[in-house]
Amino acid sequence: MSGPIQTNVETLRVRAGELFDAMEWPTPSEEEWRRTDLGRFPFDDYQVDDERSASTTILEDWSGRDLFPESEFAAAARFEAGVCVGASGLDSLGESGAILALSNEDVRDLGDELPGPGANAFEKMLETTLGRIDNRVEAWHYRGELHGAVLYVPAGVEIATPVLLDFSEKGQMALTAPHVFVILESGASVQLIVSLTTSESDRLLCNSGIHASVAEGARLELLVIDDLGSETTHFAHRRATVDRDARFTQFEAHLGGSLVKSRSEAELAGAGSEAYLNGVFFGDNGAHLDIRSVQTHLAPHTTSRSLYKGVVAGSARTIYQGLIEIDEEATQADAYLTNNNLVLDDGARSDSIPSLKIRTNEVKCSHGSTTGRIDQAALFYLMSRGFTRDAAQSTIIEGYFEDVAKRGGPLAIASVMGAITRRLAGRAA
Amino acid sequence: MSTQTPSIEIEDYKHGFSDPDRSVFKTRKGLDEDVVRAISDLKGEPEWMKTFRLRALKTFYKKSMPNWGADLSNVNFDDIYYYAKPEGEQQRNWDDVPDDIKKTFDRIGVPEAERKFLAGVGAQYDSEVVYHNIRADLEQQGVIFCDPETAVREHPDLVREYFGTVIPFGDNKLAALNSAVWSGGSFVYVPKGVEVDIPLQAYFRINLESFGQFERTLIIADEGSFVHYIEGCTAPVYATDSLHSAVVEIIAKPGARVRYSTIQNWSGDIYNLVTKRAIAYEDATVEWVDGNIGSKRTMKYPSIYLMGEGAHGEVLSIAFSGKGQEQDTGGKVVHLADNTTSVITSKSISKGGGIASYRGLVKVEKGVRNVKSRVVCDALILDDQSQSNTYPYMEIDSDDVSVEHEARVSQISEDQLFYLMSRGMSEEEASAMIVNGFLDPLVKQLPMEYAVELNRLIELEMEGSVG
Repeated sequence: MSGPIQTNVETLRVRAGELFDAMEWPTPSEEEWRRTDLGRFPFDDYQVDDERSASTTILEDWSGRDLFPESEFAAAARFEAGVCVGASGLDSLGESGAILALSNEDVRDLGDELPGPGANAFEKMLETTLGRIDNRVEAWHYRGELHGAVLYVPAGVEIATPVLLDFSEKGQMALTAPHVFVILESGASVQLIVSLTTSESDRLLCNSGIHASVAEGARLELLVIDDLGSETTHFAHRRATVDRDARFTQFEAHLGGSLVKSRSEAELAGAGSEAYLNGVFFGDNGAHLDIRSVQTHLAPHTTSRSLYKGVVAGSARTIYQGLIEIDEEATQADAYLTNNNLVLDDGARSDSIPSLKIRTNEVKCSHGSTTGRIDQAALFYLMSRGFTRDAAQSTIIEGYFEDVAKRGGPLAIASVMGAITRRLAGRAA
Repeated sequence: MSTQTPSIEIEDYKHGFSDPDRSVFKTRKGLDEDVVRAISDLKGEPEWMKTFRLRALKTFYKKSMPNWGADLSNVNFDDIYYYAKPEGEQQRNWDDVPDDIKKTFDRIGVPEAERKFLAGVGAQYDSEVVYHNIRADLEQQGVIFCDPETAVREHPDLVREYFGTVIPFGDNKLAALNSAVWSGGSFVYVPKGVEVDIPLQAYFRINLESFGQFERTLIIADEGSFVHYIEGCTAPVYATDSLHSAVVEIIAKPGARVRYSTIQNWSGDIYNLVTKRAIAYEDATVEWVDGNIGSKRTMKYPSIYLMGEGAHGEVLSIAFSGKGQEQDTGGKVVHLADNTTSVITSKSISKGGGIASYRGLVKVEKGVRNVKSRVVCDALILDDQSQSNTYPYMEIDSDDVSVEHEARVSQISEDQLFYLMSRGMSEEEASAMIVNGFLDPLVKQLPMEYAVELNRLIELEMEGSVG
């Protein structure tokens, strides 16, 4: 089925641009955007740094050890302000047949080095991606200056150690669009860590995307840590298509930021596939975090679980919108969704909206949601053991988050818990 | 297990008969200021009520239809009769009700019900209440139970104080519509400390085709009082759709308890778009028991505003959605005071391609302390063409709360079926029994006669559902 490649990153950008022109910015009359009103959002104030794209790529050896001292990575790459500044392991990864392609001067070339089947899979993924754009913010993401990577793992290849992609975004009033494409062919397996940090002082807008295609019997573990500065606006578009008997596990941490709107969708497209979406979110001060997870069951005998835990403090507002959707074809689907929210301060606000849309009867489907304050008995217990109130509170919150973080593995615990402890210490100070 | 398409036919609807149109006055189809003025003039209303209607009409024009929930694209506001006055005057003696209408209500069983277990009965036929009666001893204690037109005439101070305060006409398009063209309904006032020990009942019947029934109910339970109000609804089956759009307002003063039960069994051509809201003051309790069996589309979310400390709200919602039906129901509770509690329980069943959706809200306002709320939704889907949706919203603006929600969607368990069938039941009987058991916790909350009626309705709906 090989033919000339019709769709590449350049055509994606052009067609997304056409969609962008045809669409309006989302308004609160659309359910998904009802609680995040972009009516007055100064989209035009944010600009892509033209000099950035012209600057020369410096590819130093970067192992990721400064982020995760204890870990070995199969390959690692670091982007600063949209430019790839360091990488390692690309060649050794290549020996297994897997490819980590990085955008450098010209993002339009991204993915050019993929071999025949990989190029086809990438083209198919770009087509799917285009077909799914349903709002102007997402169209905007693709139309702009993308930077990022394509991770391709061919059939049957299992990568033993994780792959790390680190994005560090900065620039006053900068508009950045990091993107990661992940393609796993049948039976492939890999763990990918995407770390996104933004400058604490710069007011910037990060419009990010991660799209994964997990073919038959493949295993993808995705760990995404967004550790954002207090002036950052973050729009995140994440989707994984999971094929027959494949498994997709995602852990995402949304920490900080002033305005965050994120959607993670797992599409169970093949019979017997599984998806596990886990997440933590933490909003403090005046932050507004609107986090959505979607479990879409399209095929029979599919299983999905979501667990999202949030903490909201100060005068922040968090919104969790979860959806389980079971298509008519998805008989014997088994889905569960849990959302827990801790409200630390009066003045903080937490909305929880777990929804179910069920189109067939042979299913097991449920959700649970709780919102409350810190267990006062636990707080009292710790304080009676000599903890200060703040220390006791931090300890309880750490335990609360750790329950989810451990589903992301040791790296999630290390990075997420570190960031949370830092944020809690900042609160107490 | 073979699951065949259930075959609930519209013939199964036992209230589907209709009587000839004997209306003595009917406005023309469609809605404008003249129609509203005509309704108001016919009722001989005071100027303030007419003004209220006209202002509501303007709001109705301005507001847009909800862009969520059930599919309402076929509702044509220009193709509806907004008012029809049946023959005869309102009676307190059943024998004086015109024969046709009497026969209708006899067939539904209203007078029998009154004799047996009701403290008072109101019966509305199209736009007007044809019969209203209340037990003499309650009347002596100062309990008022009449239609709102009578209340406007005889108790204008009470009406002006409370009418439209819980649900202002600007609340939504359909509340505005009701406020403009309302006719009939009930007005209930229970004085301080009076407990109405057996229920009051209102019965709503639509007889005409392409008709809109817009009754208006206002219940005021003064301090420490108790009342249980029950409404039932039926209509004949026609080819074109009718609209039922009621507004129900409840005010539960400190320490009062109000229970409002609905068994909605409209025929399958009725759009049932109802706004129901209650205010509960200190230590008051409001309970909505809301059973939705009939109608083509229902959108109804009984709500409770807990305004006073210690107030408690409960919503029990039952929905059965069969062929061609969409039940978009649920409940809302807004916690506006400290130490308030609420429970929402929803049970829904969908079959034969029906859509049952739970839509609910729990909201805790800023700074409100010690709030507990629990929401549980259970849904049964009986075949692979039917749908079930759950849309719960929890908006928490306080740090001193405990809000829990859980929902489950499942089918009838094969283990349960197998067990019952091994005990000699047919699959149909077994399914009906499981469905009844599923609803049991809610049915128990109803007075016995209603529980029996509801069970019977469900059995009727379940007939022929498995092959």
